[in-house]
Amino acid sequence: MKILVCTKRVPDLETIPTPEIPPKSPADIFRDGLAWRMNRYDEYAVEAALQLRETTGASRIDALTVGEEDAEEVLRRAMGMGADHGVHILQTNDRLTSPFTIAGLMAAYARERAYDLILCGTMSEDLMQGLVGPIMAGMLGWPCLTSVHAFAQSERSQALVCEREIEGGCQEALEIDLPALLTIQSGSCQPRYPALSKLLRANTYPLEVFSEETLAPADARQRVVTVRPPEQRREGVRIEGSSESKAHQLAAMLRSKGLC
Amino acid sequence: MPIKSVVLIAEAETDGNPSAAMDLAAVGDRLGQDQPVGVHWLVVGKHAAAAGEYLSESTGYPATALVVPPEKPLTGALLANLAKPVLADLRPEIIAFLHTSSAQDCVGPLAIALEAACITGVQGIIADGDQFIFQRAVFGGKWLTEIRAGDRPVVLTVLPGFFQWEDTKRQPGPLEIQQPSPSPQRIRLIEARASDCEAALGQAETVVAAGRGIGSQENLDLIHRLAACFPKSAVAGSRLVCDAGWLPYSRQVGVTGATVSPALYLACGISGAFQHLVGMSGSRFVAAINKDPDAAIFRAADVGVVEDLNTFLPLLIEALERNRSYTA
Ligand SMILES: Cc1cc2nc3c(=O)[nH]c(=O)nc-3n(C[C@H](O)[C@H](O)[C@H](O)COP(=O)(O)OP(=O)(O)OC[C@H]3O[C@@H](n4cnc5c(N)ncnc54)[C@H](O)[C@@H]3O)c2cc1C
Ligand SMILES: Nc1ncnc2c1ncn2[C@@H]1O[C@H](COP(=O)(O)O)[C@@H](O)[C@H]1O
Repeated sequence: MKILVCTKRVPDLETIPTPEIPPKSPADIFRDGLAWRMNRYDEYAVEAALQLRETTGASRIDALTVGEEDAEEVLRRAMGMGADHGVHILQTNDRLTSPFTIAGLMAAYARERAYDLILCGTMSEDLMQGLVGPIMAGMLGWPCLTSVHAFAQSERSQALVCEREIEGGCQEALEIDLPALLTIQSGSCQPRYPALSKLLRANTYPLEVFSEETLAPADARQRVVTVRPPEQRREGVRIEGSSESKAHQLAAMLRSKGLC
Repeated sequence: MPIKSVVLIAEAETDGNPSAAMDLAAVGDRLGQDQPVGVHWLVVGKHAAAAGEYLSESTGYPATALVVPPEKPLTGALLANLAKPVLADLRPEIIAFLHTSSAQDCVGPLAIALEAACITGVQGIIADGDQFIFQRAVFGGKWLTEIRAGDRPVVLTVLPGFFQWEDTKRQPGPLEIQQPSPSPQRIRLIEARASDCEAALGQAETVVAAGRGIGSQENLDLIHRLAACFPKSAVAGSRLVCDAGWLPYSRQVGVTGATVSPALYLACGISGAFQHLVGMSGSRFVAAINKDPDAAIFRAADVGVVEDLNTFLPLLIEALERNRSYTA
């Protein structure tokens, strides 16, 4: 079984500020001084691929990313975790790129390369769309299941049995025919941490690099025109003062409202 | 101005009134505020006939009900396949789903089939000439983006709780019932299991919720001690806390966990992603403690404290205990 895992480099949310004045251009929210890492759900996707290989002896795991030069980091990390091969589609990214553009580039790479399974994260932590995977499945004409947290080979050949959690904590088991695309949700089995020696070795592996032009970019279909701070949904009164004073004020407020 | 056609897609796999779909009805009304739109329901599932009747009567919008045979449970892929011919017929400019698991399976492939744009997690709509701009959250809710879809039709998923339906008297809309016979599917539901969310969460008057900001399982002790300061309280967690094994999944609050509406919700070290907020937005009073002054949770809280939990929770527990001894 040949598996492709799509991994994205995202900024750490805690380093993203919310200034009161919206930026001039939407892409300006990705400013200097952000900490970057692999999208957490994509770490789960790499882990899921590695575990499938351990149980079924899958033949090959490729990691794919679309992004600027620095995005290479996530491929190194995926290879440090155990992926065999890294593919980098270089994109001069405004980082708010349409999901149709990203999915189009990745589908163009995957088509004709005889993958049995493509894994994405259930969403990117920065853009939170949950769309790149399903759109790619649509482009390839493959079946697609989202937010799967565990899967295994089915008794039927060329099919997987997938587990997922849906609304209200209900659970579902579904069978999907291969080739298929799954988006992977976090779960109780934590992604492995790459050993330093493996990371160092991964840094020496050659990567396959494409420019976006060679892969015939798809129509973006939609565009982010503005970014702004969200509205207050509740009053959000801030309690100020020393730590002790804040604790007293909060306790007093809860008591005055009859909440304790 | 040509009238825009809007199709609202409601799932009807379970019995009973599809009350969640009223958020979609509100989207229909919202779109109609700024320009004339023709809104149509497409109701799909085992109980589509009854649900379609309810929705067309209560909203006045015409409905097409696709009654799926009970031996073919509705999946996102089946939903897309059944919706496609009806949508090809109605040629809507806007197609809106609730942001459910099956909708998330179905909207991407559907957008490809219809050559449409696609925007998930919509929480606001603004008129822009004869077009619309759709708002959705990014970065864990710290920012909103506004997206324009150009001239193509657009497929949306809409977050629950952002569009409120106003119940006014309307003429019932016509209902058409169809009984499609689905072809074999590449995705098959094998088993559906009920939720194991803890009943105690739903009954608690105070829910003290721990997020990843609590830092370690040992620190959960502080959360338990905090909860003990309130009568009829329960401890809950975000998904990340349950993934880490610090609390069982039965205590997860959010879209894939429990929905709670206590008198007091105390969010400790929770960032405020919409998947979490969906599960607690019905709480009467929300207090949030987070060390990041920009955390999205502060926009969904009545009162907020910017503090480090490690130092602040012991002080709060002490203040509450003192409080209690005064009243005792
Ligand atoms: C399909 C799907 C379904 C999901 N379902 C759910 C669900 O049902 N429930 C749910 O909760 N999530 C769900 N999620 C995940 C959700 O998107 C968020 O990732 C999750 O809610 C974040 O959890 P958190 O707030 O605990 O952690 P984080 O987002 O990591 O936030 C931690 C917060 O703690 C603060 N912090 C850190 N250290 C301290 C400190 N010492 N003192 C004070 N504050 C501190 C940080 O500033 C930060 O705001 C789902 C996601 C997907 C894709
Ligand atoms: N630039 C990218 N490079 C590689 N994979 C991506 C990229 N953007 C999105 N993905 C994949 O698509 C998933 C969902 O992203 P999104 O649709 O943005 O929420 C991610 O978890 C990744 O697996």
